Amino acid sequence: MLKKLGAIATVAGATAVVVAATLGGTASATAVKASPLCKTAGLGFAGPLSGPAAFLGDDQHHWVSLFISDWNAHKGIPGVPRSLKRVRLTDVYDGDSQLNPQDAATVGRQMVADKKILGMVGFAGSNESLGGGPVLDKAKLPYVSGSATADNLTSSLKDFFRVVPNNSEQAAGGVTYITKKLGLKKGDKVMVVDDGEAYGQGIASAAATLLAKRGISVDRESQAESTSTSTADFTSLANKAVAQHVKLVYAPTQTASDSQLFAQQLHQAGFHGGLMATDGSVDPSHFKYPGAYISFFGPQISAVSKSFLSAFKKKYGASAANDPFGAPSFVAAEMLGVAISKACAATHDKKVTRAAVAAKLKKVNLSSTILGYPMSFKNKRDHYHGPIAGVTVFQIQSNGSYKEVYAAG
Amino acid sequence: MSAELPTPGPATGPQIGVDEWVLRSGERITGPGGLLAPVARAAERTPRLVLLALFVVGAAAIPFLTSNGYVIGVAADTMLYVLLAVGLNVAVGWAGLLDLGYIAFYGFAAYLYAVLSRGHLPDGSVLLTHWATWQTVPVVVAATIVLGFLLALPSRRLRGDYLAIVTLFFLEIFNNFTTNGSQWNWLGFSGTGHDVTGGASGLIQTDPWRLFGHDLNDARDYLWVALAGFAVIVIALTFVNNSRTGRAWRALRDDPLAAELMGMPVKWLMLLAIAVGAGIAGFAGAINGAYYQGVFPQTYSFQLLITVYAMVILGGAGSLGGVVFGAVVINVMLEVLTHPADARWVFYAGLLIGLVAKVRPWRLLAGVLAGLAAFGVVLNEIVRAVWPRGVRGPLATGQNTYAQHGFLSDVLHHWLVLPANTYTVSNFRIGNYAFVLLIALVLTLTILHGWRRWVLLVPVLWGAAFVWENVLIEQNPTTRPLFLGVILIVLMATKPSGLFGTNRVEIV
Amino acid sequence: MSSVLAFQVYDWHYFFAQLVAGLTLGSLYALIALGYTMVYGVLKLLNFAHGDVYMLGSYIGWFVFTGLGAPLAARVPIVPLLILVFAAAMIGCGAIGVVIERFAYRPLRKAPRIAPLISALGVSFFLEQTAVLLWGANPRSYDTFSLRNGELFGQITLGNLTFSYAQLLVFLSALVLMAALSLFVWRTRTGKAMRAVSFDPEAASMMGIDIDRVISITFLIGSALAGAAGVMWGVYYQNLNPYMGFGAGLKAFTAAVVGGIGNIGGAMLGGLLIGVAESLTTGYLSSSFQDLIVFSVLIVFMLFRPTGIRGTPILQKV
Repeated sequence: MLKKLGAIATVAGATAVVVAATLGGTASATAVKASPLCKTAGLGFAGPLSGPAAFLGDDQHHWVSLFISDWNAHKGIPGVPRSLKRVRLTDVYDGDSQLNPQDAATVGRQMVADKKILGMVGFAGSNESLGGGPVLDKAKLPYVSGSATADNLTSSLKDFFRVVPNNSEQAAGGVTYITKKLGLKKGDKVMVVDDGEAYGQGIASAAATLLAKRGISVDRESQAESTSTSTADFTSLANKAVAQHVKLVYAPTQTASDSQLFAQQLHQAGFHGGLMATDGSVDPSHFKYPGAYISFFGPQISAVSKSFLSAFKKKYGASAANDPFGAPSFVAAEMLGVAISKACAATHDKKVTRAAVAAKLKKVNLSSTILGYPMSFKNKRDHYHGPIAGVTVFQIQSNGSYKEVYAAG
Repeated sequence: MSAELPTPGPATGPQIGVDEWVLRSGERITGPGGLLAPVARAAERTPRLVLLALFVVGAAAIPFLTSNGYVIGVAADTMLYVLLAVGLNVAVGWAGLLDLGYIAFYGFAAYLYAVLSRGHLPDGSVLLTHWATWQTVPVVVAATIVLGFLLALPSRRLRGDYLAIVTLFFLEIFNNFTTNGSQWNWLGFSGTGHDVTGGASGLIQTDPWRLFGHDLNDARDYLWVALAGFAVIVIALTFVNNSRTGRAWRALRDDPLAAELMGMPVKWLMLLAIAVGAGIAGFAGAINGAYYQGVFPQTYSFQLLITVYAMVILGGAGSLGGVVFGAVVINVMLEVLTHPADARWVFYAGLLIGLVAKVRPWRLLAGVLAGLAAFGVVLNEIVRAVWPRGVRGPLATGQNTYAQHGFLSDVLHHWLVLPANTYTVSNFRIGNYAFVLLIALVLTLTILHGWRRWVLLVPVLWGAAFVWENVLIEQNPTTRPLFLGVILIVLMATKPSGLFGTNRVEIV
Repeated sequence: MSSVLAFQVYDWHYFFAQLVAGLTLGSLYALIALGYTMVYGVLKLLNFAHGDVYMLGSYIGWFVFTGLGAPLAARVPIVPLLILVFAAAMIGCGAIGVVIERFAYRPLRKAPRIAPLISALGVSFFLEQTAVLLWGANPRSYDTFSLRNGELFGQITLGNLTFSYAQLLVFLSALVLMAALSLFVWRTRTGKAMRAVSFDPEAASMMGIDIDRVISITFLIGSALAGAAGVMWGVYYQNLNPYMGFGAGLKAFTAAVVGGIGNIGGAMLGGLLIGVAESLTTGYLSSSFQDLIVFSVLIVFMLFRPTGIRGTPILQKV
């Protein structure tokens, strides 16, 4: 029996070599010289396309595809000057990072190895960015995320950019609203519930710190989101909130239906305080509990860019347009498209490199976007890799619509 | 299936003390059959050390054959899986212990490496200097072995399924601790607490390994480190397996009760198997923490556990070479599936090889192939006449790129049914129904016999190609775990001992 | 920070509220656990795919529920609507369970014990990914809260106890199903056959019991119960996704083991116990480390009583 060990090892080795050669062969066959890239350049996308969080990645991926088809068809896109000569973009190259940082590293290597790719939209998750980012940094491949919000991303990664405000800014916006407008003061109690994910933990920790600074007592809790544990039941937490006379529950999660359930279960338990969710739960078809608050990064996309939303729904179905980070991914792709075009224009279509795209990216300035506010990467607090956006707060109305009740200056 | 089993030898009455499994054991211990048999037999004649050297040198040469960082990265990942599979094989394959907490050892080692190499906990509470590689790696491996002992020690009374669930609890505890460890409070009461694991965001910026004055920064370097470790581990394990301990493990696996009655220190053997497995996982974890420049709780999941189990089972639990083979095949397959153009060739080649291997005699094979071609062409013509849009769809050829031309595309456009706009999300319904129907047909196929089976095989194969082209190839992120599941089911139904495993006699 | 002190703040009302929450969740665990324990009883197999059958039940229910226009424009009044949904999920899941047994486990009846276990893991992965293909990874919702303005979520107060109709529904239907199962197992011929097979399959088959039939029925009933649990999940907790089977399955499986695997009463007890333990842990200790605390307690429990609350010691046969 043991004799076979080596036997099989050889077979395995041979297979590995053959497969390596094949994979290498395909990749080098697709590699092309630099100048044709100004004719047709490639964009990558990395996010969870399978696994429990696939709905986040799918949606973002669709928004990027929508951008590319609009871009290539020379349709008007807010923020893109008419005079800009657009470099054609191939369909998006997708990498499935499954919200798993180490898979993200593999996806990163795949992106780097494909010489056609000049920029990447993603990674969708903060963790993925931390796991896959170093690989892209090493190859100087710029990547723009529409949803990774952890504070330390811009400081610890070189070529990472994002079009949404980071956790601290969102938490600060929310906490300002809680203290200034809702009037919570020293001695009041807030329950901060994270979702057991990098997203929720990041915002929850930032908010807890800010609240504590203002003398508000914080009860920090955690309920893993339903898409990861499948037994998301907030009843016990709701009972606790009532018993502890909590004034407000602050619960960041990326699963809008969890926010809805939490709101209902709080109501069931007899809770009379407020509930504040964050941008991840902005989804009027799933989170529609009247009276609840949501912090966000700008006006509602449905209000400012109806035509894009309806184009999206037409193409991908009504249920697809749920993810609040979808439209930002469109803008992330837009930033890259403009940067690539500008990098090409600067050398008269002779030469474009990834580093040149990264350099141009810092200077791209869109006067408006489908998000309803201008976009450029010059936020000092975010190491000049984040957007110049303000945080808004919506309150859900009795008909389920979102009404903007606050906008940070 | 059962009806095809050969009837046991000359008819005998029930033999006292001989179980049916024992009676038939001769037939089962025949080594690998089918297409792999010549390969295995040829390799069996070659000395083991030579084969090990061939594998190591072959894999180590990959960075010289290609400059593609992705391929080298996949090779390094594969070697990590190989190490994991080899370690799991000690507990599962040799000692027969169903250790479902195995991945926690891997994760523990990676986290420990991260903390030691960074020199402090995330909240900065335990301040040390950065440890050097020659200090961290031995400490990590030793600590993981100790953890293996600590987990196994109280569970030593448990057997089989009970051991499985206690170890699974351990994995869940580990995951819960790492995910929420950013608010760790020693009493476990709620509150802000200390940050000891970095929480869901993990720990980043771990130090790379530093050997002989060089920082290891590349996938290439870690591939070589993993290979070197692999060679040492395999040689050591071969000695262990041939020693008293190795034989005792196998005795424990085959019949724990008998082993105990023979005076073997069963509990000690069990501890040792789990600890040795843990040690190997610890080494892999120390590489993992450095290679990825960070450790994240999402990595050490149940899904990873299942993947490693699939590798061990596919190769054949108990066969060292087999599990290496399993790890390489599964990881490479999962990776190839992300490239539709390559995956398509693999899929059709796989179908063809399967037919050639399983359909005998040749006349029948020719009949099935001809029937398949005719069936597709006729159906294609019918659809073309009735519903022209039904044959105009594109083929996925790359990352979301489609083609209307090329050899395979031309063939498929005259043989398959490819509805236009099949790749837009809202239009997956035909594919969905076809998928469910295909499952039903495949299940029916397994209970049919004789000519009915061959007749049904034709539409099933065609349907498989239809579902593949219209659903699976485009949904490859879902297809990968789906295939993993199918592999496990089919393998168990046809070859429970894996491709290279020796069939075991089990006394029930 | 202050939760340690908060012990004094919490009163009996709070305790009962947490108890009700735990019993609601626990009765779901118990229903799923029954399937695990019954299959283990007759086959000595940990059917890892059971949690995914529960997930499919939830989806089948959702399919019928929304197919009938619910929650907003339900074409059928609540009670018949719920009965229809339950029936569809139970029948569908029962059929799926029988098919799984027939094709994935029966061929392995005589294989080493690890073989069906691995096959079960394979089936679990397969079902999960099939659900992703068919329904997408996007979470779906029953949204029963919108059903007739939340009639189902009306509150009932009895002294210190407050609960909703939905909670009552979940708890009572779990009790009814369990009672029916007990009657079946203890009072019918088939139930007797089931117990016989569980006790000693070889002897049972010598006595003329059709083992295949008994095993099929076991899977039918166990899976139908999982289907019912899936619908209850949807009715009360509303959100479903293709991956929900794993977590719930793990908890239920734990419940079955804690109760003493193979023992029907034990599974019910174990399920309720785990549900209550979870809700009290969150209520009085820590939500962040709920799993850590609950599973640690269980490990310790397993070490001292490896056969569970009501399990009988395993006799090893040579």
